[in-house]
Amino acid sequence: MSDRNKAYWNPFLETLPREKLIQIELKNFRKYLQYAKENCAYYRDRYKDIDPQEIRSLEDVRKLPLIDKKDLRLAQEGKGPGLFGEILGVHQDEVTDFRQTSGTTGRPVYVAESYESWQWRVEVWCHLLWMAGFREHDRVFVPFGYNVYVAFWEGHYAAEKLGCMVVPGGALDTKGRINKMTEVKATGLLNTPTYGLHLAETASQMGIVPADIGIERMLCAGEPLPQATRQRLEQIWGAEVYDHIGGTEPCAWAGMCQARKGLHIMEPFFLVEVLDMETLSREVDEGELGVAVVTPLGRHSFPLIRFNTNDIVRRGADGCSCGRTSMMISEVAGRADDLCKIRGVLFTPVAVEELLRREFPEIGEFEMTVECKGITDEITLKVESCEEMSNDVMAELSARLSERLKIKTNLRFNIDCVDTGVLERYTLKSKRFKDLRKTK
Amino acid sequence: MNADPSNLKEMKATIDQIEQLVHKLKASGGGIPVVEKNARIILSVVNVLKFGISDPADILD
Repeated sequence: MSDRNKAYWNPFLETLPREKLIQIELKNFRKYLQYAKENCAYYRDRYKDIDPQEIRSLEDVRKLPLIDKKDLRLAQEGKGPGLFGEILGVHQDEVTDFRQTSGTTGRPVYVAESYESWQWRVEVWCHLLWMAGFREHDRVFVPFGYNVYVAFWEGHYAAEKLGCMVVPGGALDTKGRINKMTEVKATGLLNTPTYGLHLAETASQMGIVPADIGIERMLCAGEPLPQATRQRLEQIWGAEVYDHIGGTEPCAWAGMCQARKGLHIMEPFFLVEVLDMETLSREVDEGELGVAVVTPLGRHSFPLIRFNTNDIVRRGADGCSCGRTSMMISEVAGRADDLCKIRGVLFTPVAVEELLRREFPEIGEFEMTVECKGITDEITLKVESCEEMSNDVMAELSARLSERLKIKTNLRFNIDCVDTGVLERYTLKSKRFKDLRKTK
Repeated sequence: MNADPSNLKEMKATIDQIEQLVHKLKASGGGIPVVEKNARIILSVVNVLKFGISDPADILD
């Protein structure tokens, strides 16, 4: 096999001309819809007047209704059979794995996997890991207890399928994990960005230079990874750091190749639409932001037809130096759930993280709160420096930060420089933005 | 190994044969767990191969 082909997990699929990829996606979409209508109570009624065979184009797909997390909750609340309600696509006895969403925005959604559906998810992750350069010689450390959350289970089993040696690091504290990574000479890490930074900070406190541990590549999951945070992780760890996007319900649906310039949609496993944010009815053009609507085309146990992920992404240009032909996402801009209006200005917390990581390397941890004081909303940004600072240096930092934030977000922030080690450290997903207006 | 698309058709035929053989094995097993459960696992992987190999074979045919 030529070196070029070894770059791909599946050279046939990954280099197919785009029109052929779309042909496969439409064919599988029709099959998947037919399956959902026949086997899933939720779709039986909802799609009773729709003939899957009449769906011949992407325009036809866009005429079908969307489904979102709220719909999934409604399909499960108080509805049988069993835990998964009307959205279950196989007999209850065929369910081999229980997963659930993190419940950040409400009651968690329970997700059912049959063994067949699980193998399909693992295969998607094999593509993701291979694309990021993971190979059989890698020793992959996963510094979490995975519990009922899916991403690291997928990563674990996909790395195993690639032939890597997988070392699960649950039931250890952070220091114990650093020691274990050093002991097994880990070369790969599956991580959340927040925990990647925390691990590095703890290693430094232990007198260990993170880049000396030997990690060559890291795949991040669980949270948005702004470009500046990704670059900071690369610099601290001396490793290649890869992003991907996905969710518990649809699976990982786009990932980074070794060019690390945007994310490849995992076609034809998924039919992904990037729709305008106002009407969710028009496919956006290259360079435009939109909401990702995803149909995973091979998961029968939990059928999702046109799932609104609420992820806001920027549609990228076609083509990549790696030779893959899939559609590209050039930026993950955040979650529609996180978008809020502060003093009439549209605000996303990712913008603040991007600025801090890119321009303020002296800041380690941070936390933002917005609350209503009197008749106006006030945002406070607490920042913690990586090292002790004099009052003068802190005052200068605070003034510079305030000015840059005003330019970047069009909002005025109260800056509070706190002592090192005061702010909460997160071990999985961070909660650095707190909108206290919602709790009143 | 060879990533020549002309091999896709042959691979698709082999995948179909494996699927048929596993169904045959399942039928001969008469429901005994060791055959039933392991056959299910093989068929799950066959499904992945159909997605990755047989689908492009059909399209490029």
